[in-house]
Amino acid sequence: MTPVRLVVMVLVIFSLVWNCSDPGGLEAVSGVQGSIQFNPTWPDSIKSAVVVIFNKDLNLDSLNAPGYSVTDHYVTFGDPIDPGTENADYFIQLKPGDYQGMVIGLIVEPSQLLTNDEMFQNIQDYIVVPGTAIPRGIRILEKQVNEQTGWYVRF
Amino acid sequence: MGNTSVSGKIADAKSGMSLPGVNIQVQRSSLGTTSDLDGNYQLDDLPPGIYALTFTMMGYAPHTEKNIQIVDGVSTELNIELKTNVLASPQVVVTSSRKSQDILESPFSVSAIGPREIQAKAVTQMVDILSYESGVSTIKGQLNIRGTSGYAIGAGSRSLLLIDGIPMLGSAAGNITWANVPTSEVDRVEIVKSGGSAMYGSSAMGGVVNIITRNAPPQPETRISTQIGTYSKPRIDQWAWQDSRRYVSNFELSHSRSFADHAAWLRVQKRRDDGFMQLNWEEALNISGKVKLNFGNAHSAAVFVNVLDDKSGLLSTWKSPADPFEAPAGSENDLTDGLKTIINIHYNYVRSPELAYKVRGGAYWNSWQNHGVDPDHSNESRYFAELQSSRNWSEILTSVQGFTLQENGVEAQIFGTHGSHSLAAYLLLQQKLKLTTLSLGGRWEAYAVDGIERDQVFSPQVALNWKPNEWFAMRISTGKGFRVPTVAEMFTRARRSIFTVEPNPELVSETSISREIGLSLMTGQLGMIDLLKLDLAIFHNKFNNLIEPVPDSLGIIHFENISDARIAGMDIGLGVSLFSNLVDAKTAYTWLDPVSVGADGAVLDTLSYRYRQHWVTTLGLHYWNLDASLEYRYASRLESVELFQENPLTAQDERVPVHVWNAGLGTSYKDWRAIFRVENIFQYYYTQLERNLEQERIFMITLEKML
Repeated sequence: MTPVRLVVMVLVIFSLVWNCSDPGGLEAVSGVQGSIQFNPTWPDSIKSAVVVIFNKDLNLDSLNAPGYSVTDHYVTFGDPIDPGTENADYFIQLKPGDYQGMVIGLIVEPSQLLTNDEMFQNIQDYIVVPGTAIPRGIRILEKQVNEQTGWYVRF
Repeated sequence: MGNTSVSGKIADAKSGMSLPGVNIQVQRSSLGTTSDLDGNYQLDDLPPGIYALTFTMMGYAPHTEKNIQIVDGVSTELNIELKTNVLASPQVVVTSSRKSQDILESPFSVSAIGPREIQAKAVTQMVDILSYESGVSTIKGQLNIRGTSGYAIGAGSRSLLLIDGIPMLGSAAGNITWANVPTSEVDRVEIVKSGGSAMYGSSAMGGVVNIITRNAPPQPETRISTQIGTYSKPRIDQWAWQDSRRYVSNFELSHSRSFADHAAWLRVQKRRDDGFMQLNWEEALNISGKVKLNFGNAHSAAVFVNVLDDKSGLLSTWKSPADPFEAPAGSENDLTDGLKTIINIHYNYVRSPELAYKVRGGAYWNSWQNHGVDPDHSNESRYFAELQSSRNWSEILTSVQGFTLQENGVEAQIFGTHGSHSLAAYLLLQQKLKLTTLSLGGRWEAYAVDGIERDQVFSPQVALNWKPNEWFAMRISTGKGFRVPTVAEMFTRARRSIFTVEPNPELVSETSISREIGLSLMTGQLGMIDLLKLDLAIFHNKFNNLIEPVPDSLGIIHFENISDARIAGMDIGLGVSLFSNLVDAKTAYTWLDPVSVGADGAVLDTLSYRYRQHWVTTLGLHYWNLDASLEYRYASRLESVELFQENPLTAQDERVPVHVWNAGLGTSYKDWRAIFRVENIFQYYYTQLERNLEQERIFMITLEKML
């Protein structure tokens, strides 16, 4: 094989590779992040706190109304925050859209809620909504992270 | 009647230059020797008879000289010329039948990687090479042969790692420490892909990787190697996290020489890797050496020592998918440091051409300390002893039999203080019936934990190999495998992310039944094809009492004998060399159906951390003294994981297939060798273990000087 043919072969191979090189791996994400300040005194009943994201249709006033299902509006929650924490950073990945976010306390271990579907469906029985946690409206844009700081929580 | 000898000179068929270090093996016998500095060899004490000698050397096609008649009192001269073998893969293996055997005659699926393939990639960790073999994948260093292991937080490998035939799994977690393998001093790697418990016991139920270290060549040799690499910055602006570049440096100095009939090598390696993430940095000092002592053709011994002093960041998960290169808040300074020492001793005694003994002994000590959020420490030890004999009962019947004893000890906060020991006996009979070789074997093993006997297991196996000619073979096999639970699986008490792991000392052995049918083809000189290798295998492995981490209703994880499982699939490997060694290519495809099944055999779920499809391809171009290579690795998206499931509402914990391209360019001039290599050329981002990004693009230059 002549050097010219060899160079042609190499170029063909690399152009093929180049054309096959965009198969779609992980990319920039969109979501919400920030920090939360907690009152240093946590009640013993609180096992952890989490930032929970609901869709924009959640009506907090109907939380205890018969037949109203919180889980119908639930989207996701962030990493659990240990009791006694005074300051915590959080990040929650979300698709573009409008949401509501709030901090709640869990009276059971978070792993218990994650692995027990029945408990999860009745999540309102296992949460404490702190008086200072007013739901925040959050707008998420494509591949952008919305900063939500200045949350203060007292259980 | 007196004994006599056969001797001669071995040379390169093309250049006529003498070849030192050629292995000469008397077929169906334990007798053998190697050629000296001038290519001369001599085999003494051969009783009169008709023999076949096999000559093997890396980079050359094996040559067998048959019908050599040895007459009483007469010395026979036999000069040999060896032809180069472009694919340079070893064709004589020792792992599958515990004796030297033509790879086409192996009763099980075996692949072998030679030193040329290892050196061409210039990697410092052997695991990076294994991922490009058919049927093999790795997740965070956990070895998966045909999907057997998955990922069990590093605990409980179902594939056994051997160094020179001695087990190298950690005594607590049964894990593999790849940094203990002196990659640049490896002669070859043999991968047995069928369940190997009948020969190697627990942890070999999913296969065996045997790393065979080299013996020092006859001529003195000093090698200096230095490697510098740099990681690219993230190509995604959102993920930018550090202004300065992160580097890798690796320095190796090795010297080998022979003295009288003996030989030795010593290697010192210093490695520093900043890591492409905040917490996957590593620094290590590794000193290893091997002494091979030869006392005539009958007695030989070897001692291998490896000391690894390492320190590394303690990475658990990323900070967030928006900051995947950074450590979670509070754990930025988490690190672990440890000291691992291996001493392996071998003694071989060839009593006669029909009977040989091998004694192996190994000791492994590992101590580590974790510093940071969850401080911990561990002191582990493992002692191993084996007596093996091999006997040729007749021209057609051979046997290999032996006993092993292994003792493990661990003292750690995470596991507690525990000890275990096992005792095993094994036997493998091979009978040649014209074109067919029948292998029949089994291993009995008993093990105890903390002085209490836990189980006794017998693992039989049967295999047939049909080799109608020199270039084609078919094989079929079935065997039972088992794995005893590790100390980590029985006694771990820890917290990982939001999950708590608690002990389950009631665990029992998991067992498997593996079946395989396969064919191999190896031929050369077909028109423009210099060499063609093909291996195809279809397999079906059934597992009972599989030990997996399972969360209970309180979200607490125990390792439990929870499920039965089935992994069926096929792998196909093709290697070809074309146009007088100008182009060579290797491709391997593996398809798996890894599912857990209920008592009635109904499919319940896909097993976690197993790829359904895995495809690797390597293309090499060799022109003048330039070697260019291109590698591609594809793995289908992981269908199931354990810790963090994909959330379709938010795209959180998204899993994607693997598409990784690597390229290399190497050249050599006189005693110098230079290799430029780029890994993950297109900066493709993916995870295998949840919330852990896989390797960023890296550019590396390796410069080597042989003195």
